[in-house]
Amino acid sequence: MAAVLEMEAEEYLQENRIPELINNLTSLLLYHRPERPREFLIKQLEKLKYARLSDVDYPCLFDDSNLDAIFGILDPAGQGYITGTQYMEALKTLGIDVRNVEEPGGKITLELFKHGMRIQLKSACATFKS
Amino acid sequence: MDATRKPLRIPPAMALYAEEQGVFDIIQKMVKKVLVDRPKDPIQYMIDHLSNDNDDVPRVFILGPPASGKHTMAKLLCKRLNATHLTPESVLSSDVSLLAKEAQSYRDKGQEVPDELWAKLMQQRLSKVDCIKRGWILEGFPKTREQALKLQMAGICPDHLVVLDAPDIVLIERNMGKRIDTANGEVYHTTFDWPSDPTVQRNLVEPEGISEEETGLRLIEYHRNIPGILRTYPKTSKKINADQPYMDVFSQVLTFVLSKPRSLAPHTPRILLYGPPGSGRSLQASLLAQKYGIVNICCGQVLKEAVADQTKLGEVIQPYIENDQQVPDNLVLKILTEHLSSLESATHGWVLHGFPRDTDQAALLKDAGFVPNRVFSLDLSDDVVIERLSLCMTDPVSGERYHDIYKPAPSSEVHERLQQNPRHSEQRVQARLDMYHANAEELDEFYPDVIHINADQDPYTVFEFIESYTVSPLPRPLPEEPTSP
Repeated sequence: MAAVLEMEAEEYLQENRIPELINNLTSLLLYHRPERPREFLIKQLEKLKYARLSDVDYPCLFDDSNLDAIFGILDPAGQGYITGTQYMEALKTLGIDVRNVEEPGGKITLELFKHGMRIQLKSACATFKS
Repeated sequence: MDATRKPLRIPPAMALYAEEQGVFDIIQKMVKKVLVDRPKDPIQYMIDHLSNDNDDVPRVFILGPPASGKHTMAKLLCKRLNATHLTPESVLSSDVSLLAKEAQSYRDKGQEVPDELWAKLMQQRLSKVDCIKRGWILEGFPKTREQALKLQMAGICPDHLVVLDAPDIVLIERNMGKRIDTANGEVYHTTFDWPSDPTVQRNLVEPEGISEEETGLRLIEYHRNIPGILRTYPKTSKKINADQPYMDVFSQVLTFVLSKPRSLAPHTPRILLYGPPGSGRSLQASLLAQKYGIVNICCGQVLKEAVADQTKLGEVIQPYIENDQQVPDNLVLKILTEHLSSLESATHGWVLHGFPRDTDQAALLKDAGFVPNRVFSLDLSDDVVIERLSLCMTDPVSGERYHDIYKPAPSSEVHERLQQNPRHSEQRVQARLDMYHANAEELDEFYPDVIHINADQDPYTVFEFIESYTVSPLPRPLPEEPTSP
């Protein structure tokens, strides 16, 4: 009986993407370290609630400037492109689960890189039942 | 975990923040609630839960045999903690819903209310706003293991289960003196709790079922069920002897209800030990350091090390040490900061002793950002200190330390050559004691959370005390004492 209940609970968590949600929330919380953590969490959850309706502006730890910085690190010579392997490494650095992502081939420019990253980040932050 | 992987470095500021704000507990309680209730819209549910801000409100069951004082304890607790007092009767009578009517109809027919219905009634009552915001104390329920399980299925679980306990013979005696005020249902007692007001006295009547046989029957019923209930809540229950003056019982109950269960939240111990010389600070610190792998920082030792290593600061403080003068506070703090802010101290925690000696130093330490999360004061009377230190001798050949009373030298030959550390002469000890006493009181005020420990015991007993306070979280603060009119 306990095992069945445990499985149900596990299923519920996965279905609603609660572990990912909690991960995102705690990283946001620890990064910003607000004085009133409760209010901060409520604000983030509210933001997520509206983001679910409007499909933009997800609460996320990284923004465009971070993406630029990562691209700069991966491309120190300023060639203007990175390889697929580097792309995957960047995803890992951002803490995104890379198991379901296909490694892109060829040269990846900054624009392409940012576009891909934004999609991945968004799906990582859309922590609710779709 | 893969040990060869690069260790995950978390900035100490994050860990400090998480510990200070109890982030782990907030998240853990939230996920727990989500899992118990499994709402359709978890995000909204979490928002509601967080805005309730009720992680710390009491959720208590009080159980006990008849006449063990459940009602008195529950009433006192509610008054003190500002919580909602519930009894099965009050839940039934205050409710006007269909469920309550159904339950009442069972009662009218002289039948027991089924357990499912009870669970539903309780669930309904506990989800009302006063219970959510202020917490609740439920007395005399559940009566059987089945009811306890049904409550658990409905998602009702107490944080604390108080079980009052007394010998049957005492209970039977006590029950015979029970009197009830017909006007408002309050309970009094002929010997222990006789009302002073004559109008109340006139209202008192003997309740039903207080004869020896009837109490006996209820006791048998109680003893049949209580083991099963206790088994349902193995970790949260505590038995408290009710055969004591009621204020004593109450203080025990209150201490228990305010205690928090041990949490899995990662925390780094930052321990401060202070006490008179000879109270065993260094011994306790080294025991702690050994068992928990935390950094042992002894102020005197650290200063001497700095001198011996001939560091820049060491050279500055050398003349002070050689002339046996106090090293200026800011220099001491600089050297301590090096040790306290090392990576090892930040990740594993530290135990500091020998500093601060007075409130100025304590304030300096606080300003430098090193705030201990446990402060222990090892208390020892002056006579014992002098006895411990002035009779302590060192063997210059083997370096072994002997004590005239507790650890005498093995042979007279050794005894002859024993020498006393000049620091341990009675005058020097007395001087250090005086200095300690001059500051001890102020330090106590500076650290209001200080935990006093009687150091005149076996060292391992003292160690166990310190350990138990270090490992389990601090009890939650008591709400402000309600001002009596």
